[in-house]
Parts: sequence; C-alpha cells; structure tokens
Amino acid sequence: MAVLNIRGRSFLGFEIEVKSADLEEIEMFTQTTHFPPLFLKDAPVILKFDEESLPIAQSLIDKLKQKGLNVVAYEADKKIKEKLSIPSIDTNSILLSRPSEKESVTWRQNIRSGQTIRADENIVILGNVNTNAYIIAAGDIYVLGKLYGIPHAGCKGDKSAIVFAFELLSPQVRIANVISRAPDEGALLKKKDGKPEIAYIEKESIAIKTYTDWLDAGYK
Amino acid sequence: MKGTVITIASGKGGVGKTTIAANIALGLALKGKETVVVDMDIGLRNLDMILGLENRIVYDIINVMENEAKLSQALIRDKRTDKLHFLPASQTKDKTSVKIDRFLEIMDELREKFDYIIIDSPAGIEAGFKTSTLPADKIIVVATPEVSSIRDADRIIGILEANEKRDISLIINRISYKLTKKGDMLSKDDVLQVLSIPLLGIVPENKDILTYTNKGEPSILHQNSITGKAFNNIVCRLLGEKKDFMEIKEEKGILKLLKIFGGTQ
Repeated sequence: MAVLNIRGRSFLGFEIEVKSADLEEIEMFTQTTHFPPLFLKDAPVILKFDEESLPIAQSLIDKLKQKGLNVVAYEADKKIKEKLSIPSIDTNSILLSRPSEKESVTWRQNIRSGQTIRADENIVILGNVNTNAYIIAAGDIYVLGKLYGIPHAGCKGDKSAIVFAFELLSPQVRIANVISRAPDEGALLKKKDGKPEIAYIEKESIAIKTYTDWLDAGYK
Repeated sequence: MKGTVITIASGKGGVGKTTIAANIALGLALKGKETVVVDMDIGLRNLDMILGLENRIVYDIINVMENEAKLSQALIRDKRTDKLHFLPASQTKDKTSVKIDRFLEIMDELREKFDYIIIDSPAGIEAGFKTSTLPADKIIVVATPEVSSIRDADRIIGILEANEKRDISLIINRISYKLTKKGDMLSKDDVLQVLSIPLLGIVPENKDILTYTNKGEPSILHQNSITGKAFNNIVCRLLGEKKDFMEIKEEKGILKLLKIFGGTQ
C-alpha cells in the first residue's frame, strides 16, 4: 500500500494524501529516485492528513519543502490544535461537490439544422445551436451561445445533468427521461433579454432558471 | 480559360433562386465576362422563361448527357448580349435522368470556354441539389427573411460544410422595410446571426421584379429599378469590388404620391 497518494485537483494543483503515521516509512519512500515526480515540480501541492497522520504533520511539511515541493496548504478532517507553518484549507467549502468525473468534449462551431452531436461525456459548444439540431450527451450540455436546437442531457439516465445556454430558446428540453416543452410562441421571432439560463430536474420535472437565480439559490 | 462554377442553392423552394441566377448571370455577362447559366431543375424548368429564351430551346442538358446532342448545340446564346449563354434543363425528364459523371464532364467542358458558370440548383436536399453543388467553386445560398426559409438554408449550409465546401455566401431576398420595422419579419442582422456566413447581398421586396420576371427581362437590365441596383451590387461584389450594402428604406413621399396618382400600384 502506498504511503503517499498523489492526485490532481482541478485548479487547486495536486493533493497528496498522507496514508501513514510512520515518519520513517515516508522518508524511505521520499528517498527513492521517483520522488518527487517531475509533474509535481512548481505545482501547488496540498497535503491531506487523517487523524492518525496528524501528529507528524509539521515535520512532514518541512521534509517535503526541503525536497523542493511547493506545499501551499493542508487539509485535515479535524482542525489541528497546534499551528502549522502553512495555512489550512477546507476544500469542501471551495468545491461544492467533487468535480464531475465526466470528461467534456468541445465543439467550436455553429451546429446547424439536421446535425446531431452525441457524446458519452459533457458537451461544450462554442457557437450557436440552430433550430432542428440535436445535442445528446450522457452528461451536461453547455452552450456558449444561443440554443435553438433540442438538447438531451443525461441521456443515459443521469438526472443530475443540466443544460446551460447563454440564451435558451429550445422548443423542447430533455434531461434523462424527462421532457419539457416551451410555451407556444415563435422562438425565433421572440426577443429574449439574453440572460444565461440553466435547465435541470426538480421534483421529476424540468425547471429553468436564469443562471444568476440558480447561483443565488445555491446551485439549485 | 478556367472558369469559376457558382451554384445558387436555397433548400426551400420559391425563395428566388432562379431569378437570382438569371440576374447574376446576365449581370456578369453585361460586365464583359463570358458567362453560361445552367438550369439544373430538371423537370421543373423556369430559367428559360425568366431569361425570355424559352422559344429558342431545341436541345437540353439531358440530351447532351445522353449524347443525343453536342454541348455546342444545346447552348443558347442570349438575345441581348453575346457574352451570355444558357444551357436549359429538360422538361420531359426528371432528376433521376441525371448522370453525375456526364454532368461533371460537361461542367469541365464549360470551364474551358467560360469565365463563369452559374448553376441554378433545384430546391430540396436530394440528388438534384447534391449533383448541382458537386462541381461548385462558390456557393450562393438564397434565403428570405422567413423562419422556414432560414431553417432550410441552415440545413443545406450544414450539408455543404460537411462536404468540405468552404466558399459559401448568402443573399437575403425579399427584405421588406415595412414588415421588418413592424417586427413581423426577421431583419438582415437576425438572419446573419443564425446563418453566420458572409453576406453577398440583399435584395429588397419590390413589385417590379414580378413584372420583369413575367416579361422575361431580368431586372438587372433596368438599372433604375431598386432590384436592378441590388443585383448590380451583387455582381460587383462577386467580381471583387467593394460596395456598401443597400439600406432598406421606406419609399420616399413624393414617389409614393406619384404612384398613387399614376395608379401604378
């Protein structure tokens, strides 16, 4: 079993989970030629301690700093009484949830009538999606433009999937096995105020909110 | 000589492909370019009538494809300028009679003889449309400011882009000042936003075009008419000149008055 578990952490750089309370064991590990790995060079690193490894925290921080690692903060389940030389962070308050495991595919073009995009990931579109185009994703759909076409997010049953668009003008929105229809007005002639909107499932039906309202409501 | 093939397409029918093809072809010829206009709407030909050349047809493109006539026999010289030629469609056959390899051969033959080859494609997205766009160097998409026309234009632009056609430009036909102002019709900018391809020209809605069409005189022959000017601008832009886009204006008061009294409306 590894004593140190290294993981990428989206914009927070890398996380090293400390899985042993034995300082010597860790030192043996860090003495090896593979440590520190090249990808950790200059990257911000966060140390994650559990209750067992907490007592060795300060000495470990010093050791790793000597090794040239850019240790910026630590994270622990319980607040440490004695002050360490680096700040503590609570990543759960920064990231509301773990970043989605799904990859995203990006399309940098307008999607035209009759064209269909399908992906097992999230779909990001930089451009407009015109009427009668279909966007079908197992994950979320983000349209950085106008969405006149029909989105189907979470097409494999993921009810937490969302549809985001700078202007959501679709005649229909589909998420997982729920479908909703726009009011009977001509979408193309209708002038919207141009606010970004989000569609998601709430109580088995699709709700649409402006992006700011959605943020204000605490991401739902 | 290595001519440029320009295909006029629209998806939806009745938006003015044939009229625009006739005007562009005649306009290029009047500018001194050797031009041929090919009617590919096999079975539903109309270009001959708009050009006023229907009484001259002996052989058509299907005859040429089936080697019943030589290309030079089927080409009709325009009655107004000897720079313009016309290759008519067959009225008795339909689109299934088109042989794609023969069509491409004919186009290559035409490229040797002419500066510009204008193809009037049929409506729809089926074989006739696909064949017509196959040899094209440039494609002009015609749309009117209506939702259905724009959807169809969007669809064919998608198909064209999927087939690696890159030089696609747009003509917006029949823009009406009154309706746009009232908000009943999409404006030029609305159309451009959806289709997002370069604009080649706009043609205002005008009654004169109907008269000219039925007379077999494309409006580009009438330089004083508003549509004639619009077509002239389009031809100039095709030839690489810079021309500002026409402003769609309300008809001026005195003209309107004159028309009412003259009873021409």
